Parts: sequence; structure tokens; C-alpha cells
Amino acid sequence: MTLAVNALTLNRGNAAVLRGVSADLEPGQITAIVGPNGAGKSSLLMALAGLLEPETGTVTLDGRNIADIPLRARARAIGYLPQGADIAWDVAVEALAALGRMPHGDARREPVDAAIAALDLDALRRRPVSQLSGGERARVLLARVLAGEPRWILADEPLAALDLAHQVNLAGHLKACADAGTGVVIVLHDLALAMNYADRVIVLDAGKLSADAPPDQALSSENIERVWGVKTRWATLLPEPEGMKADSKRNPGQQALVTFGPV
Amino acid sequence: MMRASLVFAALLAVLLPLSLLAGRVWIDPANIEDFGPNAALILMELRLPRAVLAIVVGAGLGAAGAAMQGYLRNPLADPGLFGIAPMAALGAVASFWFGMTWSLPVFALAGAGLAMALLALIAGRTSSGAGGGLALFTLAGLMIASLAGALTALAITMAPNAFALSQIVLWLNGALTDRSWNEVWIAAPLTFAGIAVLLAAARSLDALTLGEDAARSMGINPRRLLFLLVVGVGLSVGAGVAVAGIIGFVGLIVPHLVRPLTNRMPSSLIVPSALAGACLVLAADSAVRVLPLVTELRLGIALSLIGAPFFLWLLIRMRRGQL
Repeated sequence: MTLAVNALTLNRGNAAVLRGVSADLEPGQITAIVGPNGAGKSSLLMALAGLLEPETGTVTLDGRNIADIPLRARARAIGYLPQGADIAWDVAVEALAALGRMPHGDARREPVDAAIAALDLDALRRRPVSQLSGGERARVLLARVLAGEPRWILADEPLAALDLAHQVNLAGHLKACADAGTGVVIVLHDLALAMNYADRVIVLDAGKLSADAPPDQALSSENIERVWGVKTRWATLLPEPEGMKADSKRNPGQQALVTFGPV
Repeated sequence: MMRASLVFAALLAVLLPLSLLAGRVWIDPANIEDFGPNAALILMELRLPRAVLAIVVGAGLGAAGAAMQGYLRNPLADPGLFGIAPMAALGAVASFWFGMTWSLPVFALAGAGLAMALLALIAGRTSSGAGGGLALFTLAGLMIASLAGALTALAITMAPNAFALSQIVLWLNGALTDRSWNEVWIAAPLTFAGIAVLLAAARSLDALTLGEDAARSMGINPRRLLFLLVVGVGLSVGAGVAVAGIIGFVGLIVPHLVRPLTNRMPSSLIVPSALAGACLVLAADSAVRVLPLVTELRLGIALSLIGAPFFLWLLIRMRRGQL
């Protein structure tokens, strides 16, 4: 039940975007991929989804080379959410989420309904996507992935451009998926979100694996300085607000990243 | 999809008998005996094949337009973008040029086939799996279209005689005048085969709603989809051009008429767009027959006269973000 990359090297055009990256990903966890712009985060995610062909090295799902898995079977196992909300036609929420059943070739209602309910979209079922806010749109796109009941969710910046409430909400949904045994791999820019939500963090720097560890180790101040060139400290914000306990499942830590400017 | 299909099927059921009665000679169904044996002849050998051909050509253009807009994820796409119709037209022009008009449909179909082969060759080189193949492929189709256009213009300027010249120019403005059952037997099987191929691609087009990468992650094989599109559009549009010449705007307009009656997914547009395309061409062809002009208005010109203002209106609406 693992998704793994072994000595992955990837070119886009003539430029090498990933160089010798290896990692075994575990189901039931949130793995965050972080790194500066152009580090190869999205490329790694696409390679994991089988959408980019490696120059050398392999991507394997349960020990099987992903290139050898039939497209439909791969699509049933791996749900991929690309960056940004690019929806060509003004379809209704329900119809869009139902696209998630395509890899299964069925039109089962229950998984679609469950995904819509999980993302609090019941009231918006019949609304066309042009009339949704950015946050609602992001939830619908994630609902499409959830409706396919994949064993792996690979999402590229699913929390970007969301307001605080929606960020916390969507991150909570992803956490719930991971707790239910799904492997969740997300590309993140916000290091504090990675610190607080991920079980494991992969740091990429110029196409190379720079760190692969639990968040407090991978995102140590030393690593951040080395990779991003910014001096930072993690601060634990306490006390908790009155009557609110730190929710170990939904929001395990309350770490804030304090920056002190470039090195 | 069901609702839209029913609406346009019902409309077609009304239009077809009207179209059979309409023309220079109006046939009054109550007093059909007054026309003597000519009425049956006019109906069965002139008007019925022409009406059936209008339905076939319109259905092919409508379905191809819906599929192309879905494939290119763009409401302004038109089946002509792939260069298939211009190549088919070039083939037909060649038959005039060589004075072999008796084999015009064969020449036109050969043109369409050549365009499809070229597209398939280019597709094999561009859709290697990485993104951006679609844009490259569309540009390649546009280049085929403009090459065919240039060669057609060359054929016109270097026409061997005035007769061939007038024939070419007239034919390029598509029409359904003086068509017989022969044309129906050529176009109908190819067109319906093309529509069937497009229907096989329909669900994959839905996946493209979320973009090329998302569609591939959903198990869509972009190369297979592209081949289905090229073959489906090639057959349905190529057959139409072979029997009727260039009839523009139908493929562009029809999906817009259909979309509000559906859930807007590309797959739900193909069948109703075929029916709506049939309605549009049948209605337009009946209208040009009864317009009191010295010579019959060419169908291609009539549809462009309707189509261009509609397209402008569409652009303005798009600017207002109402699509």
C-alpha cells in the first residue's frame, strides 16, 4: 500500500526539475511537499500521479511501476487535484463532483453524496460553479477527488487562496481522510500549515531532496535558513483561547513561524 | 440531455413536413390531388432527399461543433478549426479544376481523409503525454486550414476556364440545391458513423472540463481521445462538405443554443446538438427556397448572414461573463 519514488530524475524541456529524488510514502498520513518556487514540488506530485514520465528512476504503487498500471486502475487508486480552479464549463456542483466516478465507470450516487456532505456542499448542489466563491470552488474540486474514493489523494496547493476559515476546514477534511487510511500528499507553500497539519514533510531544494522527516525536524530553523535563506524561529502560541482545547486530531500543534528577514 | 433532445426532436418533427411543403411551388396537403402526379415526384425525388440531406449535414456539423468545443474547452471553437472542412473543400475544388465533377464527393472525401491523416501524424508527435499538446495540435489544425485555403485561392486564380471558375466559387458557398438520393447515400452512413465515434469520446470530453492534467489523472488517454475526435469530426464534417460544400457557423452556433437546456457537460450536448443542427440547416434551407429572390440564395451565405451577427452577440455576452 505504498507509493514510492526511487532515484527519480525528471526533465521538463531541457531543464532538470528533479534530480535523484527517493521517498516511500505511507498511507494514513499527510505528507507535505514544501520548497522554494521552482524546487520541483508540483513536478514531484505529477510524477507521483503518473502524469510525468521520469527520465530515470521509477514511481511505484504497491511495488508496481506506475507506468505499467492501466490508466483506469491508476485513476481509481490515485486522485489528483491540480493547482488552481480551472473549470471550462459552467456546470453544477453535483455534476462536477460526479466526474469523480469516471475512473470507476459507474454512476453510483452514494460516494458522490458522501463527498458533497463531507465538504459541506449540500446547500450548493445545484448551483453552477460560476456562482461559487473561491473557497466553495476549492471544496467542490476536492469533492470530485473524494467521490472517486481513491486510496491516495495528491493535491497541489489545495489550501492556497483560501481564507483562514476555509483553510482550517479543508485541512481538517484532509486530516480526516488520512485518519481513515487514505494517503494524503499535498504541496504547500505555507510552512506553518505544513508544520501544524502534516505528519511528514518532504523539503525539495532545486530539484533535490533536502529533508524528509517529521515536521519539527524537516522544518527546523536551520533547514529553513539553508533552503529558503531566511532566518526564522518557531513560536508556540499559548495559552489556548478560553474553552478551546488544542485539538490533537484536527490541529495538532499551534506553531507560528516568526521571520527575521533574509540571511 | 433528454430534455434538450426531446425539444429539438419535436422541433424537427414539425420542421420536416413543413419543409417538404415549402418551395417555389407550395404544396397544399389538403388538395394534393390538384398537383397531379408531379406532387409525388416533387416530394419524393426533390424535396425529401434535400430535406434528409439537410438533416444529415446539419446533424454532422452540430455534433462535431459540440465535440470540438468540449475538446478545446472553448465555446468559440468550430469544427473548421481542425482544417478538415477546408481540406475537403480543396478536394472538391480540385475535381472542378480537373473537370471531374462527377467524382466530386470522392475528391472531397479524399481531402478530408488527407487532413485527418495529417492531423493524426501531427497528433502522434505532439501528444506525448506532457501538457501543452492540445494548443500545439490546434495550431497545427489551423495551419492545415490556412494551407487548404491558400491552395483553394490558388486554384480559383488559376482556374482553367470561366466555367470552372464560376462552378468553384458557387460551390464554395455551400448549398443543397438539386441534390438527390445519391448524395444522401454517400453522406448519411459516414456522418452517422462520425457521430457514433464522437459519442464514444463523450465522457472523456467531460473529464477535460477540469483541464488536461486532471483528465489524464482520471484515466483519460489523451491520444485515444484525440484520434476519436479527428475521426469523428473528419467523418461527420468531411461527408457534409462532400455533398453540400462549406456551410459555416452551424457547428459554432448550435452548441450555444443547446447548452442552456442541458447540464452543460460536453457529453450531454452531442445528441441534442446533432438534432439542433439538423433543425437549423433544414429551416435555413427551406427559407432560402421560399425567399422571393431572382436566384436562390446559397445556403452557406444565408447561414453566414445569420451566423456572423450571432457570433458578435456571443462575444459581447462572453465579455459580460454570462456564458
